Amino acid sequence: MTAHDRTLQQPVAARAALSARGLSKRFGDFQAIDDVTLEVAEGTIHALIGPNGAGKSTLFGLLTKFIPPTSGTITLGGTDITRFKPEEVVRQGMVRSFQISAVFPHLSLRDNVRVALQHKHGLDRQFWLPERRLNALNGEVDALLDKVGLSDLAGRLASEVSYGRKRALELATTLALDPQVMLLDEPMAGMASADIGTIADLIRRSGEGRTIIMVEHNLDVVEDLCDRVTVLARGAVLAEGSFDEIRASQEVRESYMGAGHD
Amino acid sequence: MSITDNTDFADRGAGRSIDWKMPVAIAVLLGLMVVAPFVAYPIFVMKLLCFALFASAFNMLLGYTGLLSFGHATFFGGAAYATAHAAKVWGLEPLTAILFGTICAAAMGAAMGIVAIRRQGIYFAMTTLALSQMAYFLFLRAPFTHAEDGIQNVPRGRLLGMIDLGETMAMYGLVCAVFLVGMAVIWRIVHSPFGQVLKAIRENEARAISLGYRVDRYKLGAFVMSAALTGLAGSTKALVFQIATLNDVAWHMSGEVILMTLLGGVGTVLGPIVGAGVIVAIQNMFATTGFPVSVIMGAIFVICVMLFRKGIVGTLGQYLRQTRRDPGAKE
Ligand SMILES: Nc1ncnc2c1ncn2[C@@H]1O[C@H](COP(=O)(O)OP(=O)(O)O)[C@@H](O)[C@H]1O
Ligand SMILES: [Mg+2]
Repeated sequence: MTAHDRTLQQPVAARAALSARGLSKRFGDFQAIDDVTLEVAEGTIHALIGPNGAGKSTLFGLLTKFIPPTSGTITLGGTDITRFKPEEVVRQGMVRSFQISAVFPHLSLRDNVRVALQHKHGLDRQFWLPERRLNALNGEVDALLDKVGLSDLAGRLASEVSYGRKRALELATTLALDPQVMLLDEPMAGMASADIGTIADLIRRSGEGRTIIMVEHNLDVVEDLCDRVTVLARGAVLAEGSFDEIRASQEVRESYMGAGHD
Repeated sequence: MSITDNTDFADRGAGRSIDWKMPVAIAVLLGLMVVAPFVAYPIFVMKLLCFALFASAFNMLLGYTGLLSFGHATFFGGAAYATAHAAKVWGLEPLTAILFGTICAAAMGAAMGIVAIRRQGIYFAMTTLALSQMAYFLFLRAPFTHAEDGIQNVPRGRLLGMIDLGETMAMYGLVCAVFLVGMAVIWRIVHSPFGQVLKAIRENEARAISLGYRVDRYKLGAFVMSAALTGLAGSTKALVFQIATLNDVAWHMSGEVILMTLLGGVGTVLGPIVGAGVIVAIQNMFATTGFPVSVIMGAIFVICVMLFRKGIVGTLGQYLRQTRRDPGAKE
């Protein structure tokens, strides 16, 4: 895909990058996800919002096969991935991040990103080669760290940097896989407000040529970034539409946005 | 992710800090290996080297992959049986017998690993323990192990048909060579592209999966390699002591190697060597006094867990880093 302009999107074939039909998940007696049908058009940024405990992270887990669904089907770019293993989903081009910051704490920032690149470059199972062979990837690693503003800290351990920087590192690591579909679970939670703009910009830029689904509580960010919004409540889809449609919905207002927002 | 959480893992990638430390450590180690047989009983030093290699192979799994195995005695003692049988009954050349024992350990590692590797955390440890108990009873019943008697009077034989290993110093030379080769192999695996993925799995398995890694395969690979290197140590020990017994396949041998690794410092290259040295030395000191060694081992374990969780080498390394820390580099 070349220069991509959201305002000039083709009205034709807004092909679904990802679709889920009738997805459900029970944990014992508890219906965490209840018959969710979701369609995400290729090249869009799609927000998933909803109160805490609505099942947003669980839905991400289902879509990426980290959690086996009780019923339903998932299709990624035309391929039925319902029976895939989580790592096969990744190889099919869909990568998730985690709500709780997921970095490799005792590896340097550079090594964190490099691990993500190793598989793509076929440098992941050579136990007989010295580690310095991986230096061939450093150019690509540094470019990714630069994108998220972490180049200065490349040699630091991930455990030593601030929470916001861990989140940025996670994003760089996810981008390293060059996924077609990227699932970001609250990528800006816990970030200083100064950093939020930077990360929002980065997500917007990395959205070019990709499909992104993100869980986000900050509605300004959602309005700014996202083409479509799905509201989840108690495991079910409450509403779906553009940001303005969602904002206008009385039902959503009551259940989620509350009195505080307007 | 249990014990390894407490550890300060020393490596910072293709770190600059190891540039000078490694050659110094190697030189000191080589120096000690040359001097040791003249100041201590050679058989004691050989035992120490075998256990140091055993603990290092174990540490590859616990320290660099984050897998706690309670079944490594099976590979250590199983390889000892295989080598002893090959040398005594089949009359194999010693190096070939050692190689045979190593391959047997790798095969046992593959069998145990395939069953255990899918379980997480403590269930993995329990599965390895259960399987190694099963292996213990198989070894107890199998005709070739001679039950309580073990395989005794194993001939050391002639290395490549030439060098008589009955000569203590010849045997010592072979043990040193095996130790150095084993350590070099471990060093290479741990500091390789594969090793880097292992560390990622140790650090955050879910994240490694979410990057597309089939973590079970890497874990199984590491498990088999660790089993093989453990077998290398066990095979060599069988030739040193010219005996293979149930003692080496029993569960307390699995416990001992965990203690050595934790005491020395999990996830450090030198830690298991130091830990093995301390434990073997203490065992030797008290072996003749009649004082129950297990009491001392228990006490060491408690002290180690309560006072210095990073082990001897880990604690020292942390101390050195703190005193050298450049305050200007703070974020
Ligand atoms: N493994 C699990 N077992 C049982 N209940 C779970 C599990 N994972 C999540 N839940 C429950 O599912 C609900 C949705 O959780 P989650 O998806 O984390 O919500 P959100 O991300 O929208 O805040 C919560 O009530 C949570 O307690
Ligand atoms: Mg959540």
